[in-house]
Amino acid sequence: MMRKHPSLFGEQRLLFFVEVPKAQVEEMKDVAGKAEKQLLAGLPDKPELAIQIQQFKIDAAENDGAKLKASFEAGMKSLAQALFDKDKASASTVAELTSLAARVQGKMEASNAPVTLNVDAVTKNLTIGVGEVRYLTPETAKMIEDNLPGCPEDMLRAIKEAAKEAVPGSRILEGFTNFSAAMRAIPLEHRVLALLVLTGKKESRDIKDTAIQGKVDSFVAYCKGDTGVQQLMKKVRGKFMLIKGEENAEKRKDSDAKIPGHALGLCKNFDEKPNPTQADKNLMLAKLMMAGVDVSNEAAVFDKKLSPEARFPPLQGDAFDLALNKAMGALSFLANLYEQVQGVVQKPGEKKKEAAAAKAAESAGSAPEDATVTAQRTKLLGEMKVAPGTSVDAYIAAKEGLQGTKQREVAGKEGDVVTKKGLAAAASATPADTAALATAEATLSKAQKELKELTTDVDQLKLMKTGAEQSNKDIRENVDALRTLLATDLVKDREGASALAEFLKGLGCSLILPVGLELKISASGGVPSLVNMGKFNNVVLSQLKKDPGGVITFDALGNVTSKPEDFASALKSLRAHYIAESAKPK
Amino acid sequence: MLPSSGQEVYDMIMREIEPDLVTDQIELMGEKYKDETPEQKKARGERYQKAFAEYDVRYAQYLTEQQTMVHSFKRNLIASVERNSSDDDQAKIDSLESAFSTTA
Repeated sequence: MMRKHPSLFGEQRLLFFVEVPKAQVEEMKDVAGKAEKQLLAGLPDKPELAIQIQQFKIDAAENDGAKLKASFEAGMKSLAQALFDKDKASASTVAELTSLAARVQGKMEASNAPVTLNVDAVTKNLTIGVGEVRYLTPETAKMIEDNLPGCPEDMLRAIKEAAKEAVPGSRILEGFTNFSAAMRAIPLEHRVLALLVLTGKKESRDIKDTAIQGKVDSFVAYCKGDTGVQQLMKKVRGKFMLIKGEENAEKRKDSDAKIPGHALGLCKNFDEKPNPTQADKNLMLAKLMMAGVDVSNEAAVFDKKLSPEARFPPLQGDAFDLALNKAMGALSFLANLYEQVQGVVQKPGEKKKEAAAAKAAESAGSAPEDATVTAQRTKLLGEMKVAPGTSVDAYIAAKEGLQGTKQREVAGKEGDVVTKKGLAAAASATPADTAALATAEATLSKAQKELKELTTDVDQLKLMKTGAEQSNKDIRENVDALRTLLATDLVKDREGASALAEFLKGLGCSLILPVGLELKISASGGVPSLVNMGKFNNVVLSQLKKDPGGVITFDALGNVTSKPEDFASALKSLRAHYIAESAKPK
Repeated sequence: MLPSSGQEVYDMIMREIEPDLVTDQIELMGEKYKDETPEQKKARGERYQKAFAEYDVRYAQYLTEQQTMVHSFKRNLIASVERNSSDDDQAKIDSLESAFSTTA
């Protein structure tokens, strides 16, 4: 039968039917069916039998309604489980489940189903659980934190862990409710003290203010006398011990390696670089940030004379701070990478251009001119555009073919000139021989000039191809390095991952990189660019409701024109903004 | 009112067939028919018999509709979640491909 029970908070509870063994149900149905038939047969003579027949009909409807309800419930549970499996422990999953539960309820009511499925306010608001996994909702986590300002973090975590297990109707939940109510009777500034006394970490007799001591004693006495609170405290104590054990293990691990992540490995390669540029340093700082290193003392980081412990101190702070630092590192890394790629490849006015020009000058035997190289590249790209579908390799091969033909043509014309020189120098030479030599020399000169142009074209094309391939290689390597860093460091611990997920949710973006990312070498032999990298910047700025370009700017070529530190500044502001938004009543 | 119990389901269907047999009318039956003749009583019994037969037909229809609705609802929910999940994945891929796209 379906029954409605009031919950602890007065709302209707989500109830499930107690399963009766199937064989027993079938037997009962069989007996009921026979009885109903007999009654129906006697109905013309005894209309009052309608009362009993009616009861059979009602019982059948109750039974069928239970089956329908169970079917709804099973569907909802399997969906919820699928969501959890897909994206464990993310805040968005919890929100989605809450929303799903509400939708299920609304849908069922709208569908006129012969069942009532009201999602218990306690179930919805305290925890969302499927199978053996339960998650604390953000509202409940906030409620706990609000009640225990300044509570030691490990203790707070233990209470939250215990609250997760507070299933509706349980003594733990009752204890949690009573505990919260009792806690509110203690002035805000003394709640942590009361908690410490309750858990035996402090003595109430040490409290000098007798009024406060009295309140704390009353609180402790109430908690010790309430079985629900006792159940809760037992659970909290167990969780607390577990957490302390984990932390001790972590500390032991940390004492073995006081340098976060793989900072040492990262810097070993860096230290071996002969002349690192500022861009190299920026990238390294960003990587170290992602590894959880405090890079505020930049000079120390790059001072090889210092000990590794002094160079790479771990960042201090809560999980949110650590995650924020790592996220900032990731964004700085991307910004620096972008800047470096653009600087090295997109702007040939620096290193690449000089190398290309020098190579061109060497082969062409003329002084390198920026404008000449640019004009030549523009000409080559223009030629390729009128031959759609021509790949860089095919175009180079075609040019080399022309070059070979021209070389053979030049060799032939050189022979012709030699022959004609002989004729013109002979004693029997006529004015016609002299004229023929002049014509042959002019033809040779023209062919030599064309060969020189073709050779320069081929060399320039090869340089462009090599540059594009190198930049792609750099990007791939850096993206791979970033992906590794993100996978191994950024979301290593659960608290950090959770805080980061919240943070990224605030950003409205994700730092997950695709597997098997491929960057194409452009058909034109041009330079690949990360033109959309500025999106990260725009996301940050839009979250801050600032005009894009107000903090970090990218020029027309996509170059970062402000410092990576601005990213940090923007993200810190964002964090404050996000925390303020989260604190607003919903 | 939503039929939240077997009794409500029964009443909802029976009210359209034979008002005498709705649950809140049963108790009034004795008083209502205290003066009927044996013939009238027999006719009433036969009417009730037909009413219950009709109830069985309509209840079976009702149950089929409800079961169809449950299955449809579950199918739609699953499809919706799968679609959302797929959209999420595709959106992530699009965003990332765009972020790392190359230009000529």
